[in-house]
Amino acid sequence: MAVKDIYRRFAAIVKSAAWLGWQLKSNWADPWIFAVITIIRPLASLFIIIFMFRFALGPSASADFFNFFFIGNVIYLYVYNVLFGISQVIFEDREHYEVIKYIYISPVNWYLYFIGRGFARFIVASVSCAVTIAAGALFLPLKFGMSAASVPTFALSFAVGLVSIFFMGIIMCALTLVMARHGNMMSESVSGIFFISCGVIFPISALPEWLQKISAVIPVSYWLEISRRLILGTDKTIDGVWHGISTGALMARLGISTVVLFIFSILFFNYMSMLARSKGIIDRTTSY
Amino acid sequence: MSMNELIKNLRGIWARAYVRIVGVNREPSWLIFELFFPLLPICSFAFVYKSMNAPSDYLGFVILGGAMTAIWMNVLWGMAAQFFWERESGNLTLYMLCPMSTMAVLVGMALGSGFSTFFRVIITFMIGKLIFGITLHVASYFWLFATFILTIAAVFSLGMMMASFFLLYGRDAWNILTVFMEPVFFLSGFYFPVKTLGYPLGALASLIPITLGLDAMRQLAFKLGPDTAFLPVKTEILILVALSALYLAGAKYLLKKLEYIGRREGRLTLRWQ
Repeated sequence: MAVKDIYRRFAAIVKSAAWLGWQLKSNWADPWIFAVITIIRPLASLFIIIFMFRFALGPSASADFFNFFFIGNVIYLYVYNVLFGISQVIFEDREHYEVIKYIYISPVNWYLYFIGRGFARFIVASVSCAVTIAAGALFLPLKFGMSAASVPTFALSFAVGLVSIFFMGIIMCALTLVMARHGNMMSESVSGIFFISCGVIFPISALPEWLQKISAVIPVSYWLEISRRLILGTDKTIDGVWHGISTGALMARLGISTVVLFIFSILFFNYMSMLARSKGIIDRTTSY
Repeated sequence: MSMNELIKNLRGIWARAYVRIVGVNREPSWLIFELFFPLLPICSFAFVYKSMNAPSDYLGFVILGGAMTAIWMNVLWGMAAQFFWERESGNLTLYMLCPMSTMAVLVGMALGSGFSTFFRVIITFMIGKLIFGITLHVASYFWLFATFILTIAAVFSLGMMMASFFLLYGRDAWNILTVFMEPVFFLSGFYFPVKTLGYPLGALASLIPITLGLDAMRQLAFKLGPDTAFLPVKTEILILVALSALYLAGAKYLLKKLEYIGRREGRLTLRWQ
């Protein structure tokens, strides 16, 4: 089979799965109700932090703080939605709709199917992200200074960071294959761990030292710091942990960790799906 | 209601509550997730205040609010959405066949959840307190405990009212329920005093009982609590009592009404909506 044909076949699987995911996510309501629901949660999250700042600092809150948490908050929308969304697919297909066995025996690549389902969450996250950015521009004293020259680097870091989240989502998904329904708490917990350890809404330097060392090897941490630097047009942010490390070095770390995640996600996913099959639990419903 | 019926309903309440109370002991992994998971956002928000060099009482506000999220999450997913899961698994039909009122099922669910959540909140708060070294200045342990219990009662009454909607609706109501997470965390001041929202928005948020419960508990437990008070503690306690009664009556009315519609339209056994 020619490379072009393989590409077409893979693209068709991802496209179909993404379409299915989008329908499942959105077809229960009128578009306007769905739109309200999609935007209301990220907006509320944003306002929680704004009011925390207002309560603790009053009018003296500096723009540096707002810029820092705002960028982190926006990027985390992708982390949460994609990471949680991909592993959630197992519960939806296996326990709720009970269709996972039919998908398993169909001629699709399972790995790509889950990537495709994650795309639906990516779309939802993008909508939430756009609304959050609009709200931030309206209500916050944000000062962005991204230069035109930084746009390609930003686009590259965004793409690589996003892809790394998809691979992490696949790893969560693989774990979920051999867990009962309460496994969805695991993916929530992992998202929560990233929320606290990657400096999403506060600098990593505020964490205890032992936790800072862990934070400094998670790809999401690199992605956040690179995005902050490029969007703010600076070579260092208020997070002291990254001082002395160039943006190029962070990009290299992000790239290498993403490649490692890619290889690991394929091996781990194949092993776990084999394990689930050998244990006969691929279509298990646990009624937890 | 005759004595015989009363006994049957009380037995129904105990049976439904029993599952939830005993269930926690039989599945310890739930404890890890339900204690560990709420701690993550709590710590994150506490670190936000820490990075601003805010007074330690502010960290205490976050830890108390964060611990109370367990109550709200339990009300949403363990109470309100429970009928959705029961219908999916086929249990709802069995409840309807039992010689007891559906209200007894709801009350049993609320009592069972309230019992397990009570300990969860206290343990989460104590762990958070230990991690961040928070000092309490409790004005009255009696009123602090009474407010906590009243808040649980009022919030679970609201949960019972919300649960009745799942007799009619399926995936749509389940999705809409997700809207009551972060927006409620914001409006009820889980991570900052509700007074920061201003009085009009704060008054609206007071319809969610946890808003006033949290405000009163912060006033009673922390030195800086009274400085951030939305309403006096006594007023908040009186409103909580009124809200409990109102939501309980609302739950009874809605349950009867929506159960009738559900039976008439044949929606009580629908799955995969």
